[in-house]
Amino acid sequence: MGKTSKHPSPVMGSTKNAHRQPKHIDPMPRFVQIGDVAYCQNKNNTRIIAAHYYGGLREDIGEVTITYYGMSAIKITTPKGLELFFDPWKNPCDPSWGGIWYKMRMPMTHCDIGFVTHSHFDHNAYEMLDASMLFRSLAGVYNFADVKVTGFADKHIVETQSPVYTKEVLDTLYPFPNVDKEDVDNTIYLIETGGLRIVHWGDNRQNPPQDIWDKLTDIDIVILPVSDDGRMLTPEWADKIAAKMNAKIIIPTHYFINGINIEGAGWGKTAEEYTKSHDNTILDTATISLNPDKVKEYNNHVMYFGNNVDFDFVGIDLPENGKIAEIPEVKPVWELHK
Amino acid sequence: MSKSNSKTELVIKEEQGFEQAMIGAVGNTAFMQLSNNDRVIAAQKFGGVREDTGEVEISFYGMCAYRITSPKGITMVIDPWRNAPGFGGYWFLIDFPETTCDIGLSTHAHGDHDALHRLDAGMLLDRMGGVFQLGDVKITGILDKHMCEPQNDLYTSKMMMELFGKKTCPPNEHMEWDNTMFLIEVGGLRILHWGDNRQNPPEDVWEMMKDIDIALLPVSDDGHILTPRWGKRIAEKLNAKVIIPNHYYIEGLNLQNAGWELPAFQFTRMMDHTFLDTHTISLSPEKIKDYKQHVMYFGEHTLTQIFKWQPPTYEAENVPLPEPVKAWERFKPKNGDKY
Repeated sequence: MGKTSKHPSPVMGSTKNAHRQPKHIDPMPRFVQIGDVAYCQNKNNTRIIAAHYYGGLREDIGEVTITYYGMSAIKITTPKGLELFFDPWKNPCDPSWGGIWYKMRMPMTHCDIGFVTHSHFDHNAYEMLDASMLFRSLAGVYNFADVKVTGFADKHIVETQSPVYTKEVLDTLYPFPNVDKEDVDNTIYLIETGGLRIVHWGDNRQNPPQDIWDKLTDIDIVILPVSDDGRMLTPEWADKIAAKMNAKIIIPTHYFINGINIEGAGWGKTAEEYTKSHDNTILDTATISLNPDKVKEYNNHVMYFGNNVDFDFVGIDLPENGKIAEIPEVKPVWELHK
Repeated sequence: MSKSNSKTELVIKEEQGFEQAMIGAVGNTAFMQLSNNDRVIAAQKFGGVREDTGEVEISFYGMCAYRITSPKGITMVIDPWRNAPGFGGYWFLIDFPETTCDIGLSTHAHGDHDALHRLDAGMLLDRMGGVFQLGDVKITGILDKHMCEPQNDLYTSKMMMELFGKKTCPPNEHMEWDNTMFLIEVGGLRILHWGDNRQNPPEDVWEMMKDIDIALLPVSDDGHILTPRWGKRIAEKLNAKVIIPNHYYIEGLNLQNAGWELPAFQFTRMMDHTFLDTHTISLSPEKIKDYKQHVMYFGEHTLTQIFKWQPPTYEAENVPLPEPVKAWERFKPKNGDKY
């Protein structure tokens, strides 16, 4: 961590070089790219065709791997090697809709299936996924290879009940153009794979209706957007939700990460206090492997990724990197024309 | 959400046009959508959004875009189109209409199939493989590859590779040369949207597509994707009762000579057929049970409004001319002709 590295531009797909070299057509890059950018992708659907034919991509390893990518971005790898990515993040395409939140871009990331819980920019950057399929707000039951995903369409959190981020503050900070529309929707994903029941909460409201609670019983792992300042879920609400689901393991997300998030842009706190006030494991890697055997003893146990994410931070700390450069010498180029 | 809501909204809307032109929203644009997920919530709670009508409604938007409405009212839009931002030039004279639907689907990442940002959709399933269920709709995504050798005189694989500057045939092709076919089981009908799939998927893919009721096939007379000959052969192999051709030239919607120039008239005449005079048909298992490879041809009837060029009627001759108002006279000097 802390090492600097350059990531390719997100706009033209997953490569540093444009892979199309049309001979007869205007090779100028386009300024405006709206919507789907998959036509720029270099990889193809060979992996998912294989998963479809063989029910997976490798021998069952008996463990589900969970990898953290900052914010609410989580990659879940099934025992048979299918990679699902949830909620990639980016700065808004228009800074007037929520301001700049991140110091860096989430790097272009490989996965087989990309999922988006809702259309806020901290969850919807699916152009940053080198994915074979992309689902936004999938509600219903989806079966593929060794995974079953159930999407529950519900609504985004509107009143966090935290001391700072009240509804009024959030409305002033984030005057999205069409509030009370698609913007305040959210989908909760229930992922069943390798004998585990995993819930990705997205930014869902604390009180979904009873018929959704009925289906979210006996959860093994719940991924909750909880931080100490209660930017989404306050620690109290996270406790209530985890208890209601009877969750064995809680993975906090949507907290401040030094190196990714900009101070004061949306929140300033991690989820450390929350973690320490519970039965906890503070992880020192960005990846954990779990199976039903490993989790069966736990009850509301917090596993905290902290600052560990699965990519390098792009450092823009000027004082650290700062070596004052020389001003280039003035060459008397005009003398050529003397 | 806030008290000053209406005011903020107004201000932002004024700025939107400019900002959009400057930056452009890459990827997901659903945060600008006008509808929300209430219908989807209803569908997941009640299995639908209305009483069962017993009929499946199919509407045509031009190109390969269809809206399929389930008997219980869940709407799917498949393959909306746009002028591809990367390559391909201009294919369409008009934008795909902004359309509200519950499920938006795209078969593959080509401009004439992937304009999901034009959909005001409850959910988007982009190139989905696997099985999806919501309410009375079951969608199976069948993963395969894009057509790369159509076997016609004009659009050969050599020409396509030359145009795109990349490999178009598997193996090691890029994502845009992959394709997903959607098998939609709804209201007792098995509807297959072929996308731009190759003619010869492997045998176990054929196994999944047996006994199709309605096949939506990209057939045109010039065979840009499927030649009439291949269209017939595939329909027979699918044992399709009804064939609906798409991906053909429509005057006023497609640009001439951009990628093709013929409709699917000859193909339709070649088979047992009905020329439809509307953009929407309602079908049920009962209605189509006696058909065998029957072509239902939408022709130029699309839900998309097409503006064709009309010859002028020269009515303007009699319109009175406005008075030549001397507006500058208010600056006239009070004394004399010049300042």
